[in-house]
Amino acid sequence: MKIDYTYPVPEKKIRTRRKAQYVCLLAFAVLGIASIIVNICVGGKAWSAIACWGLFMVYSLTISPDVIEFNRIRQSVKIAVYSCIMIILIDRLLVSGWAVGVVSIVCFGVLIGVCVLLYTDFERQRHNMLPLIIFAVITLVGSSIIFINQKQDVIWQVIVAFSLSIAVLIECLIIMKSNFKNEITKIFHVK
Amino acid sequence: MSKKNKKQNKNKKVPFVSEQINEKTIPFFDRISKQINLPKREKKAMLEDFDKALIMLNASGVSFEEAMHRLDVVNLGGFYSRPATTWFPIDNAAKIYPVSMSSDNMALFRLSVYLKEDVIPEILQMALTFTIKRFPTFATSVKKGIFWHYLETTKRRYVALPDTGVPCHHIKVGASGSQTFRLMCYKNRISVELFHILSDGTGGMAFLKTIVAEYFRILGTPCESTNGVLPVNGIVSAGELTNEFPNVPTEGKPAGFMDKTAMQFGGKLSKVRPCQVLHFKLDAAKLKKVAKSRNATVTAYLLSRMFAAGRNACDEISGEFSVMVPVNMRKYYPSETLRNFSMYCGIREPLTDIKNADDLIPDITAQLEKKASKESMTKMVASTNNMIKLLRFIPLFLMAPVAKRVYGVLGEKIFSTTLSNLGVVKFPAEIEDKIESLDFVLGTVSTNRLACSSVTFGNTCTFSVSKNTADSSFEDCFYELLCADGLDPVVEGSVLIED
Repeated sequence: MKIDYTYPVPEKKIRTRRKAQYVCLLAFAVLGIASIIVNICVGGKAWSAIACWGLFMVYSLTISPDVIEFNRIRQSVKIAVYSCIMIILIDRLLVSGWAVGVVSIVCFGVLIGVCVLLYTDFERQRHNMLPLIIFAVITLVGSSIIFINQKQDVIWQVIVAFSLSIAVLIECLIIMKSNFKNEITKIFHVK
Repeated sequence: MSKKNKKQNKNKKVPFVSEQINEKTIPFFDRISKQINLPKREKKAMLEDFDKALIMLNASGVSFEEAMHRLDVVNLGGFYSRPATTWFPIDNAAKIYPVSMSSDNMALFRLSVYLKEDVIPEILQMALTFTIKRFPTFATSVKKGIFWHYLETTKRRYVALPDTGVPCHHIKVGASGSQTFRLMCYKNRISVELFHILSDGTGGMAFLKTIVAEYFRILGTPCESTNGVLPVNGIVSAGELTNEFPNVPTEGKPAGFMDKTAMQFGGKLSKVRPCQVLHFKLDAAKLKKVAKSRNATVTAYLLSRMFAAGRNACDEISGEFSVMVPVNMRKYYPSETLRNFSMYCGIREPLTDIKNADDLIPDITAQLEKKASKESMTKMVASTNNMIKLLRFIPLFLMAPVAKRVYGVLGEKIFSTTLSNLGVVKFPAEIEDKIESLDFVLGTVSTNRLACSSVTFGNTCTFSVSKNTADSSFEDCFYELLCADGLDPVVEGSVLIED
């Protein structure tokens, strides 16, 4: 069978992530399982949960990133959420009593950072506000719970996170303006 | 003209022409500039597109006045000046595609038209610029909602690119405002590669035909909006954007997805998918005659040869081959929709029964009649609709990992390969003689070694194979079978990309 080649010869080598992903997944799984086994054998605090979460974070953020909506806002929020979970895990499993302040700092820091990212490429990024809205709502709910539980001893970081989340939500509403109903409909549509 | 506009237009002089002509083009560019409300870089690129097209037309002997008339701002239709506010839910058949995709596995297909002369990229770019507004669901980016993905209108400069030589390669749809399709050209070929989320073969063909018609209009051969060509400046009808699945009447018990795991053709899976595309160009009249002599339709005849060639490409003794055959629902439920409106059926043959290709034809014909019938397809639509209803309140982050695995089992492993036959395609008479042939290529899935497709234009039927393996057993045998029937195909294709 004689083939007449009618396509250009690819100039660049085609790279695929599949093999790298597979090798990394395997390596990370082995490391995760090994850490659990060692942790069980050695006993003591459940540090392997932190190790496993760290491995998942690295895998999800670098080796197998999102294929849809891989934009600066979503990625920043994803890193923030993963980091907060890591901080809470360290607080719960290793050294307690400091997570509320640090998580609050991460939250309001990310809210400020994401707003900067939004306004430095406003025309494009205003279509990616859903993760920001969700993150602001989570921050608001979280800080409100802390307010209710610790009426008198609320630290400044929580107050800043609470206020900033409200400010960000108002800002999002202003950006969406009359289009708010449309934005909400498309985000929550079930059609 | 304001000072600001004059200053802006200073940079938009058409090079290599006299000052007098440049003076004439200033109001032209001024009007275009006002109609483009895009970020600076994109606006500049679009103005350059007009610039290049003007030069190109002039170089081919068209006066600047005539060239400006053909590229008139009216063809932009306000698309680039209005903010993007619209969005479209994904149709029922396509909901699985964004959920099941990964960084190098994506449901894609490619449609190409071969002209009798080389394509002028500058004119093709303008044809796309003018056509995209007529296809609002194509001018979109994929976004994530809480429960489902959706398509959000994206106002940007949609780009026509040179062909890379890797057909149906992954489209990066992740970045903000990314295109969900690719328009490319190489020598005399114009190709469009579409993420299946946008449309099926019928909608994709309407898009390609309209671009080609617009391309020829700019070159001075306007044509009527017939044979699937849409008027680029016409109003978009609601019917073109409809998700028709919920409108299909539910009759009988929903069924159609579950089946046994099929045997896969042999050959090591390649890393780059597809690693090669082949086109078997056949004499359509002869093909029809050969099929008729065996009391078969062209689809049944091709399927019989595929089963026989597949048997040659597999070392297994037992099990079943299953070929997925997409069915256009528009033939049962007429619709003008440009979205997905197709279902599929699986034609199965036990390996032990595959001895002679001709002997398979009666069974294949019977299976096609039964499984691709209106009744069966309607039941399958009902199943799809039920599944969508069932899953609609499950958030994406919970549903996606499960759906990905289920799709692997229900969508890929129950089939050995696919045969999608688009049938006979016609263009308006004014431009038909400027077109040589067409081809239609399916992207491959991760399990199957190959996917087949065919389309006929004029007296050329192009049967295409997109491969996931370097093993050439299937196509070698398929070629021999066709030659044995006197069809003697001309084989074209891409180079094999080796691991």
